[in-house]
Amino acid sequence: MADRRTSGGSEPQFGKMSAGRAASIGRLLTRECCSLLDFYSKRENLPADVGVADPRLVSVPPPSSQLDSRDQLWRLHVALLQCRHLMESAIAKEDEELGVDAGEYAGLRSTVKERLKLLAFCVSELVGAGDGPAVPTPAFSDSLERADDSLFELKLLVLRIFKEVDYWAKTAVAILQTMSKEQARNPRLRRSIRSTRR
Amino acid sequence: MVSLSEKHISTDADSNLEITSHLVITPQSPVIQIGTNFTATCVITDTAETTADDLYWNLSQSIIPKNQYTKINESALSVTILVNSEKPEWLYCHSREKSPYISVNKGKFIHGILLTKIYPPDKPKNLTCIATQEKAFILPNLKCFWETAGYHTNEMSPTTYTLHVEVMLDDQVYNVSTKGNSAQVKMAIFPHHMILDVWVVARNHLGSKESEHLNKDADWFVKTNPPSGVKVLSDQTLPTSLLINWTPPIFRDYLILKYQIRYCPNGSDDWINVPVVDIAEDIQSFRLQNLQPDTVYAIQIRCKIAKKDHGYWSDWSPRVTKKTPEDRPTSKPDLWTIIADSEHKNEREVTLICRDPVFSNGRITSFNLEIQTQKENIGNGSMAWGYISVNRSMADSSQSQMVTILKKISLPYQSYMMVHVTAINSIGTSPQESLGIPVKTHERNLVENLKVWPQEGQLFLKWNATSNSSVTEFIVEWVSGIGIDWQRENRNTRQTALKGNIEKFICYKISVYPIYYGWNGKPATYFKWKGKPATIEAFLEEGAPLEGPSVRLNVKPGRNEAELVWNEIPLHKRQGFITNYTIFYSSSNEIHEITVPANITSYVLTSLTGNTKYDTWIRASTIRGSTNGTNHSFTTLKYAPGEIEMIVVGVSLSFLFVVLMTMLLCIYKRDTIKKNFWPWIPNPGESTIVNWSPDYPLKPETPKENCLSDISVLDMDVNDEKSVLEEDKANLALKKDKYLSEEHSSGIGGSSCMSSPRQSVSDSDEGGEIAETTASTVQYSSVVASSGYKGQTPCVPPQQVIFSRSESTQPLLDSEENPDIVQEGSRQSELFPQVPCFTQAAWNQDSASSSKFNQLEMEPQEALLSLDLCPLAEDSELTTPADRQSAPVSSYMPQLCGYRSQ
Repeated sequence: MADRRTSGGSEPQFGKMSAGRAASIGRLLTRECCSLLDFYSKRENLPADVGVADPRLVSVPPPSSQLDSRDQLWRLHVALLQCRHLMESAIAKEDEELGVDAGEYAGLRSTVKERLKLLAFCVSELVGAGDGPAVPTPAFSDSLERADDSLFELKLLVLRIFKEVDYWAKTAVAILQTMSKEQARNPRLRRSIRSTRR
Repeated sequence: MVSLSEKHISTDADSNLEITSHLVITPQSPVIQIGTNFTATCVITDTAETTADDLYWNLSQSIIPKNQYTKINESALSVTILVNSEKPEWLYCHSREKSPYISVNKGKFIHGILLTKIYPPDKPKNLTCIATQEKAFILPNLKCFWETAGYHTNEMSPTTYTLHVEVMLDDQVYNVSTKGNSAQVKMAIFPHHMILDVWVVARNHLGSKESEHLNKDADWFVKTNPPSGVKVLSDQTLPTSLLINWTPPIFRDYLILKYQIRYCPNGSDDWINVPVVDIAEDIQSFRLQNLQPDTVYAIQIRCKIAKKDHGYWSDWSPRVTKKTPEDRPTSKPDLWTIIADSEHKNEREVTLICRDPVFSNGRITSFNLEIQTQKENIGNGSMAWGYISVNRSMADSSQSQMVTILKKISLPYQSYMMVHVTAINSIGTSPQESLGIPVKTHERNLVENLKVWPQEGQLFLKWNATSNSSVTEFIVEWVSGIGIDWQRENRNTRQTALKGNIEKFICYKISVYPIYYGWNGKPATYFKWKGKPATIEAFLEEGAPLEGPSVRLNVKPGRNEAELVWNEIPLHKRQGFITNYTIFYSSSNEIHEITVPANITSYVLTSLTGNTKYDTWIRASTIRGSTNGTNHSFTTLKYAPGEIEMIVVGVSLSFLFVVLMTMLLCIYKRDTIKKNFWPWIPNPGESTIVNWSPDYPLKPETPKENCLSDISVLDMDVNDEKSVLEEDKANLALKKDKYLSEEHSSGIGGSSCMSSPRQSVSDSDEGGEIAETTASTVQYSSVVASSGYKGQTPCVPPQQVIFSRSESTQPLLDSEENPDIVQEGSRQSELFPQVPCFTQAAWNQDSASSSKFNQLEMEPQEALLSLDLCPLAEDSELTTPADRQSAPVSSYMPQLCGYRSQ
């Protein structure tokens, strides 16, 4: 791949990845999650406040004001990877239980999944996650297994997953925008983040 | 390659030893790059019949020169050729027939390969990609285009192009292959804000080439839909402004857009673009300013990604129209005048016309007109302004360019007029426009040398101004059959083009008026006056007339001439300046033509032939062509006018002359006529025959006496014609009696040939005259010739009867005296042929001259008469008695009743 890029004569664009670009992707994900939630709630006729009190599906360290940008970004990265896994699992389970849907819902769902994937890549690039420790697997397998018993429980679980993605998308936007502003003020910050991780 | 050859040989050997060739060429089925050298080797296998020295190469049925051969060993020979054409060719290796075996097995000593020639793949150039929007999202389809060199069309080795799209940081690479120069890659989603790497690889048998990489932000390829929901709002308090609202085509989270706005008066295509720098990014409304009030504007918007050089401009949104609110007119009305001579002497008919102000800013509802005219009889200048309001209908005001007729005024030549006009709409009043019509004799002539010429579909005009100091502007006016139009030109303008709708083949009367400030009239008034124009006529483009002149005769044609008249072709059908008219007229097969100037509308054809039908027509010509008019036929007269009258008058006069002459002749010759038609016959009762005696001396004999026959004395009443006629009816019987009586009268005249030639019988007048002389004695007698006495033999042939005048002294008739009368008498004798050789002796007692007639003088005439009459007598003698019976009776009848006793 490196040879090909070189042969093209263009400078590779990895260096252009920034917190601002990732924040833009996070905003897209937020909008698309919102659309998906609206669509799903209306289609399944579920109340908007259902599952509000349920515990979070993504298990990451709790937020703290004492976490620096690097740690916040790492926390976000872990959360997004779990969300991505949750999303893929939910889609697979839905397709398994309800059959493959090629309609608007499937499009929205796929879009959220792909956008989440891109956001995770971006955040990963920002934190240089390739060299970091392994990301813990989210502890929701039991929930998905239990959903086999009840279709309604599956719907509720899928809704929870969508809401979890929405939550972390918004969290990502907030973190990344803050980071983008900091990068704008101090361009060396991004390099320091990556070098610290390595 | 060698292994392939060996495989080939072994395969052939296994299948059929008989057809196995002893020659093998390597490489087999090569694909060669055009423009390079190609080397092939021919190897001899399984035979000693031939060696490498016996081999030769053949390409396209021609032997390759030996200098291109390379002998590798005794059983292998290579050849090198330059491939310089695209056409596939066969390359053969042959062996010379140096032995009978080779000659018999030719097929085993030949081998060939097909050379496939192609170009290497060309590098795709100018790679461009685009991603379009559908509904609220950008489609995940990236469509790319590139340019190729065109070599991929080689059928033997086509080039395949593969489009690669890689989303950076994501390991997934999308690609699609095609043989064309465009392809579309479908991704999972459109990767907004991500980096895309796009390139194309071209590949064929000779290798592959890769295009330049497009390593760009994904949004760099985006073309969104145009903004939707464009609405335009107006505000009555801001007549020069419109507010535009719209909805972005895509959420700003995806793309932040910038916009471009353009507008134009509705119906126009001259768009005005709002500068991009005046439009902020990521907005949804904009206020257009400095617009024209009361004008409908069309507005369009398009958008593009706000990032520099990113994306494509969207299509323009649909046109949205909105009218700006009205405002008061901000420019002057376009006041103008049409001046024509009035029917009244020394007066001008002034028509005040006006167009709406250019910036009427609303519907002009009325005009305020202030007129100040100077009457001839008011010399002190006490003039008052008259105020007139001209209301306009809705229909008139719908077209601002329409001319409104404000007023018509009769203005004496020696008077001037000043006009002020303002236009009014629903909001307010326009600035005032003024114009003055000066005293006719004081019109200033400030324009000269006006020239007009067509150029590039327009009429250009050029003029000179004699004085530029007082001129404020020039008005260029053009009048056609359609109407009048004008335009204003700056005071410094000397050349311009007519800006109206100038049509071809229409005659325009173009005038340039100077408008100047100055003093005019009495009392002198300083005002803006209309000057004296320079005028010229012109066509934008000339053509042949649409119709020819209609010719007719002015009056009825004459015998040799006809006056033709024709009307000028109507102006709207001339289509050009008439250069001349050609008159054609034809009779039978001959056509004559006469060319006359364009200002002639009548012509007299001369030298025509009388009583001939002519066809005539007129051809009107312009510089661009000619058109014949309608045909007219006429026939020239057989006689010229008055010719018949002349003939009639001439004949009448001639007839009248003849009649008059006849009458005069009758009057003057009445006596002669009377004598001819009513001759005087002496009264026998008064005859002196009774005094006659045989002793009366006879005149000496004449030479013709021997031919005289018997003389009969007529004893009848000359007035008793009836009795004569009755007697004539018994003419035949009388003849018999005459013969009988001749015996008795023979003693009287002795007229027989046997008798004395002196014998004669005469009736003489009584009185002394008879006694005076024999010569003066006039005897009246009839001399009748006969064939002779009964029983006697005449000395001449009996048929020949000779009449002879008697020797009577009785005066002769006029017919005897006058040859004319003689002729008359001869005609008479012809009328009376039953009286053969009848010699008559006329006697007129009333004529004194006749009495004096000398007998001696008569003798020659008698001789002539005798000579003339004798042949007639012969002829007459030959006539049958029946003929004689039918003849009328002469007044000189032979004596029937016998003679007096002697």
